[in-house]
Amino acid sequence: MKNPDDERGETSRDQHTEVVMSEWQHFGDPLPERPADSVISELELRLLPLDMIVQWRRCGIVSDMLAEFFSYNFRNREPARQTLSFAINELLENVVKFPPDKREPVRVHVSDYGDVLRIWTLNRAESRQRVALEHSLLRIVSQDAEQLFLEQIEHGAKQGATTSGLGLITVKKDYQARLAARIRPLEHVEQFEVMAFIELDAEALERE
Amino acid sequence: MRFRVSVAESRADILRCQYFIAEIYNREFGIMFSEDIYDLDARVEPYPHRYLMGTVDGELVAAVGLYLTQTYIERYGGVTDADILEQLEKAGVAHRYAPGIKREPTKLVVKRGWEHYGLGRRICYAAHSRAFLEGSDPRPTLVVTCAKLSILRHIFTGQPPDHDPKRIRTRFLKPFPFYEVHAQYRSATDPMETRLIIPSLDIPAPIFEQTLPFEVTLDEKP
Repeated sequence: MKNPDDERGETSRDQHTEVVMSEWQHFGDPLPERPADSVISELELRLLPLDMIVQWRRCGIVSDMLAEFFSYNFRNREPARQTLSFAINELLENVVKFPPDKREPVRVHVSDYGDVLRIWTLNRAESRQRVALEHSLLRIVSQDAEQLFLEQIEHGAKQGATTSGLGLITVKKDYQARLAARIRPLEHVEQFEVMAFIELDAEALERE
Repeated sequence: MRFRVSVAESRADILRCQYFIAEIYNREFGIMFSEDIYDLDARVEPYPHRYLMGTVDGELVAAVGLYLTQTYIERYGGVTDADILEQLEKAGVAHRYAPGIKREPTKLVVKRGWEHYGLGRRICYAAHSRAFLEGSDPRPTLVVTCAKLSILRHIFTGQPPDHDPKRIRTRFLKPFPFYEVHAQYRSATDPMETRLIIPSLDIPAPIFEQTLPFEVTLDEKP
């Protein structure tokens, strides 16, 4: 499976990136490749995780802004805005928490293909976060979302804490989202580059 | 090498302190910060209201914050004004202090590579000066604190006769409840506690009357 940059037919920015592209491993729901010219609308942000750590509310602000931007592609804007904001925030909070160096930029990207919207994030992660992400994705895509949702609430209640991990399950359960990740090792450091994806049907986004 | 301790007053200095504290707290404990949403279970903590910064040649190497209202021990530690009043009465100073007027030094951090100069205790003690605690508010204030036992022992001292007269003393208030956010900080053998400090009885005068800013000489880096 290719990087979304490749799907758009863009030339990789440097040779190193191009060489390592072949090493991406895909986890989670299958994401079909999309022709380079099929993107109708897109927006990408480059962020410093530290800015979010310093003011956590910024995750919500950025998610709301991106969602508002893309909601104008829908006739039924409000439900689309709310769902998009929720989905973007799920990926954004993870892309901020995972990188070992909070001063290294991460990317948040949204593409509207008309029939689907694809949200992806790109960041570096250490081995334990890669394993946690793989494990979590495997669990979410292989089990019944309703059942998983209940299990997660029960688990949270037992722990006496708010339930983390509910967000992605909710996106899957309520909006039939496809969840995936592509991971590749980085050379010379014991770290990985991680792309996390949520793909949503436009129809599901407009549903009240 | 001169270590300068000053109150962060400009917008730039306050931002520097916030980024400095947030980066270290996130790296060490996985904590995020916010000024408008707090949720300990989600690891989002409130910012202090005031900051003290420690610099060497302009480089920020240590910082500590201060909660002026809604202290951590009240918000999350279950400590009430009645608990504090009980301690004040026991110490015979209930007429001099109001339990509601209290400050809490918090979020003490030292930059990596600067751990062995005693900067933590120096800047923490500066945070117990009248100048930092009271600011322009003339009312006598109490000081509360919460930390794990090892930190309390490292920075403060016990009650007489088991105490060092040059150090700040603390009075036990309550064990601090367990929150997931502190899982990487506390342990069963090193639990967290809340403590009370009565300035007129517990803070040695040279510390309480320390003016700000001030500078001290540090040994050169080995």
